[in-house]
Amino acid sequence: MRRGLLNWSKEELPESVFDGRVERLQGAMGDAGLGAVLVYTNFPRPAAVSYLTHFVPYWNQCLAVVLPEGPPVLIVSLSKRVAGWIMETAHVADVICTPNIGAELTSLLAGAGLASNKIGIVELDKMPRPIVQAVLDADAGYDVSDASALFAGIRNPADEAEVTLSAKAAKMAADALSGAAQNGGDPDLAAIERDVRLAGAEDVFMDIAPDLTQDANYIRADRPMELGARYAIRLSVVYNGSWVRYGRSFERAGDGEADAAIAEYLTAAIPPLNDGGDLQPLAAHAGSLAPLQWGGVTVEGCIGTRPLQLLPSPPAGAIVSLGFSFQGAQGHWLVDEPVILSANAIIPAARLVPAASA
Amino acid sequence: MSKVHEERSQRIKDTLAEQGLDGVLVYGNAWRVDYLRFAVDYSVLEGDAVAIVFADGDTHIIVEGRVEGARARAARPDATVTATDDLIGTARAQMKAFGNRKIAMAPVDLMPFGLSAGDDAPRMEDGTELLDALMRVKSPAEVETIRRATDMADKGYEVFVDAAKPGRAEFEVVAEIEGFFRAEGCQENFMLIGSGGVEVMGMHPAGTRRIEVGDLVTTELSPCVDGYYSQICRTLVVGEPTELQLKSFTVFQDAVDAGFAILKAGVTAGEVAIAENDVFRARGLGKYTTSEYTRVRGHSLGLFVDGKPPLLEDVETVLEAGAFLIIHPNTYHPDAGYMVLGDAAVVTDDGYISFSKTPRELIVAAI
Repeated sequence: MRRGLLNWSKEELPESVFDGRVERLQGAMGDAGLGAVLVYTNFPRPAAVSYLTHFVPYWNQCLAVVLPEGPPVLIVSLSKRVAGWIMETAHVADVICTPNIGAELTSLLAGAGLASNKIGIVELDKMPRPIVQAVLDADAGYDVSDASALFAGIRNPADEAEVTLSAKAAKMAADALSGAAQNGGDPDLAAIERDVRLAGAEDVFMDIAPDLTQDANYIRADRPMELGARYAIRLSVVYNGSWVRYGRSFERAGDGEADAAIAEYLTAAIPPLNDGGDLQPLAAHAGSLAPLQWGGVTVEGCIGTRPLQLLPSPPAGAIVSLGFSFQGAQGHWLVDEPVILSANAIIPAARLVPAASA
Repeated sequence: MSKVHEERSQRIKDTLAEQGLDGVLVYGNAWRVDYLRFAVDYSVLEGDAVAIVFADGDTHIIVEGRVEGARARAARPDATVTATDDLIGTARAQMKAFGNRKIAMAPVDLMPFGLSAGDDAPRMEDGTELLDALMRVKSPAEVETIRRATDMADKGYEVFVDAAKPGRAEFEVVAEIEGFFRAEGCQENFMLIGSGGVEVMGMHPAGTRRIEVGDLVTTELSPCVDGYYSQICRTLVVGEPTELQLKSFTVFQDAVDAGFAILKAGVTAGEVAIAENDVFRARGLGKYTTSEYTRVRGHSLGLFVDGKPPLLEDVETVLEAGAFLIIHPNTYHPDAGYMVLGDAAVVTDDGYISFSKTPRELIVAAI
């Protein structure tokens, strides 16, 4: 379940932010002739509904129904005793608690007086079949289609609120990792976990690449493990619905040359990302890495229900987490860095954790 | 392969043979990971996952994204792991490549629409009840894992009592618990919390409310060890309890005792719930056992933290030896506020085994 602070601060995230996002979706719905859009959410796929309503299902599954006007209606598979808590932490028109989402959904759609019987479903293929089947079997004869591209089209660029919250999540991770390993000893993983949560994170996942001299793969840090001469820790942190990954490699004994080269590389390579999704500068600055070599980068961000997914063509202005691998004479170095891509000529690309504190 | 998974694999193999099936396809995510964990001993953390296990043990796991792919390969180096951003398309392609085999799928109520949409979709039988039956009855190795999870719950609750001090916010208390569980190698925890007085009607995820002297602080703590959840429910008072709080709590103690008094293989989930609720009714508190104030009077535990059957008066499911459940008559008390008390137990032919060691009393947190 979601194991951190679930709280809605309206100072950080005013209702108007959600109104603006939902209105963009409603505009796209109108252009596409859709009567409603359905957005699924559960613990591992919370991103689209939290973007529209701030609601995160700490447990179970729910559906946001976006109608042509007004905030979405939530249909939740949670006890009605938590409906009050949901209304306090989410910007929605109503909360319907039920064990049968499909039945409540068709009842809601039937009573909504839709001008169009075309229903868009974000990530239709992954929606649980009973929910989709209920819509297909309804007397109204709904025409169901996939609305993933429609949602992705309004999801980015990041708005000011998302940038602020993502930067806060990134700082939580950077602060927790900054004191992770002292004097070449083993990192205190419990302290890292505790520090991120005490800072107000909604959740944190921790992965470790235990011995970078042998292998560059991260694994879940969910049990004690022996760490090698150089290892990496990656934190995936969410704060108020905004997710980032932040990771660093740690060498027990070394002259710091590689760390300095990586720092120089990040400083040089990220600001030129001024054409949004054009990632060529990341490879073009590989020369500044000596004595390390550039091993490639993965780009993760949010365009749907998953908070972080691989983005082959990242949208301009999106918050993305860049997963770098570098190679040296003695194995690998891994770095995960959250970045906002440039949205236009005025706002340049930038690291979410300023270089001085990274 | 762990001993517990060896046992699970053999039971799946036997069931497939009995049913004339070639394999089973399971779907899972970090919320409903139980079928996946049972079938392939892997808990997906990010995204969705599909796994196919054949009768000869050949195992294929499909996950979303490179991050989860690395985790899956580390968890099951002997399996064929595919990391993709097209989970459904990849699963359908693999099923097609496996040819015309008789495959069951579970859980059918969460199966993604795309896996079965269209005329060319793979044909699969509903295997949910087959796996549910296997998961309901715990093997000796599973019971040993459950014992360790229950030990973890007891230890976690000690940390909780130490952390629940005046001035601390609910989320700060939870942070201490999670730090402890990280150090202990506990993979997951389901936890709700409540704090305050007679105005508190239930528990919720951690918020910003700060604990005050005299508060009741409730929690449902459910650590997960090697995939198996145990659970403990306790109520503590910050400082000295009042006579009213102590008196109110006795109904919860008596209700838990009443549930355990009849618990053994052969009784129904409903009978246990009735035994608990009768204690409330006898004290004129019957309305607080209804859905207006509470959800269930306990539930099954194991690879899923909120399993079937729930302990509700109208549930006729017969409890079998080897079932693992918690009895928790948690509800609102008009004199004290929301109170919780519950312990987990494995059902036996002549009673039950509970590994919980934390006293079933109103806990006092010194200030």
